[in-house]
Amino acid sequence: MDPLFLVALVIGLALLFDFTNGFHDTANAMATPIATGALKPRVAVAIAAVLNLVGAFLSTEVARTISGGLIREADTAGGGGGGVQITPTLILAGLIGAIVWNLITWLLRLPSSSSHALFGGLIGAAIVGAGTQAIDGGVLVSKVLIPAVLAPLTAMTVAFLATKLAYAITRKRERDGFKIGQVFTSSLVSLAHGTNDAQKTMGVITLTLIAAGFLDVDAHPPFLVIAACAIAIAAGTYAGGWRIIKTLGRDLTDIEPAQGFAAEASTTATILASSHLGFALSTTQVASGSVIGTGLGRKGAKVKWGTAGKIAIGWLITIPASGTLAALAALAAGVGTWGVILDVVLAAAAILGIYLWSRRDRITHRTFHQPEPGQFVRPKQKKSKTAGSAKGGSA
Amino acid sequence: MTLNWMAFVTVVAVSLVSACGVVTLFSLALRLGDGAAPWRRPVAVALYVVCALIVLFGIYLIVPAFH
Repeated sequence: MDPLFLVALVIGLALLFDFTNGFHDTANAMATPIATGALKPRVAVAIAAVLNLVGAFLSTEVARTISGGLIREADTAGGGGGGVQITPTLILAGLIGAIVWNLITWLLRLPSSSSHALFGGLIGAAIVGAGTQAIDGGVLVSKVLIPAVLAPLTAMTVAFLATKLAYAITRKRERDGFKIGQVFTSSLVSLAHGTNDAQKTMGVITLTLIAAGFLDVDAHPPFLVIAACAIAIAAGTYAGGWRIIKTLGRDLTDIEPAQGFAAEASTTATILASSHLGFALSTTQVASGSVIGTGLGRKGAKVKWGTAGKIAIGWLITIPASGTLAALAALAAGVGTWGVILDVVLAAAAILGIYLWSRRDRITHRTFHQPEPGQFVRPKQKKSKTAGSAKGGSA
Repeated sequence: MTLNWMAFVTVVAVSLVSACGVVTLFSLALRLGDGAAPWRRPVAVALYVVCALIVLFGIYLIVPAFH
């Protein structure tokens, strides 16, 4: 097959993955401010999109390995090292697995980690190409599986205590002020997301270009690659994964402004601490943990454990599922040109099918009806007054 | 399999202290902003300024070009 065609295909798929990464992760930053009414839905996703765009341009550190050590990668330059040769075909299959799984979890309204989907896809494709010895099991356990348990637990604890503090210090009528704080904390999460996640796709595209011989081995990502990745992730973010925003903001627990602020502060603090103190945690898992923690921290708030359980199951099967999809894609691609074409046709069909299926129960920004400020309080007061006077009348 | 538990404990401690710290400062600012005594407002404003500085520190941490 013409290598140029294959590389173009991989770049296209990588940008599509970047797009799904964007709308899958909008919820991490913007679910709680939308839920509490701190930001109007469209404004929230616009802010997140701009910050992701800016963040993508700010970070230009290139990933040296696309799988972060999960796959024993051979030197990208060619041959040596005894690991798996990461070919454009392998990346293509991995990306197809990751994209399709990201869309399936979106359809099921599950906040799941896009990086795990990508890792899973690459692992699946690598196993088909070179067998299970291609995978570094130790790295898989210590960098992916154990952090996946610790991330939500850490965030839960932090958010629980932060929520307790917020409610202990403030009185009810002061708590609307937390909405302003939420704007800042959620913006920080968005910016951090842009600097981290867009860079992943840049790494994938750059390494593909290097593997195909279009770039020097030590090349930095060309400006065009950075710009394309930044625009793709920003567009995805602006598209707003409303289905996932609904899960995190509405379906897990009811969120008040004080809780939203406490949860976002916990998410920001945990992510920044984890990325600077050498123990990487997944943003999605931290954000979900914070929401659960804040639900536990407010008296009278209920956490819907059924929803939380579904999310946890989603996390458990993300790597095997996207790995299986990618493995199937890699098997087909192994046949040759027609296999690759079959892969792309099937992936396009799956994407279209998932999109059409999602229209059966559409969730858009209009789903998030936000009462005007003050409306929350007034009807309640009226109710208690009328209830009181009714009692008085009967007595 | 090597897991850097020390790093994990540090992450937990730092996130706990910083998240609770910010929430406490902002809550106190809200609480103190709501009252008649003349000393309350300046203190509340000062607390907001501290919160703003923490946000700036967050931006500093996020942007790799700064360090």
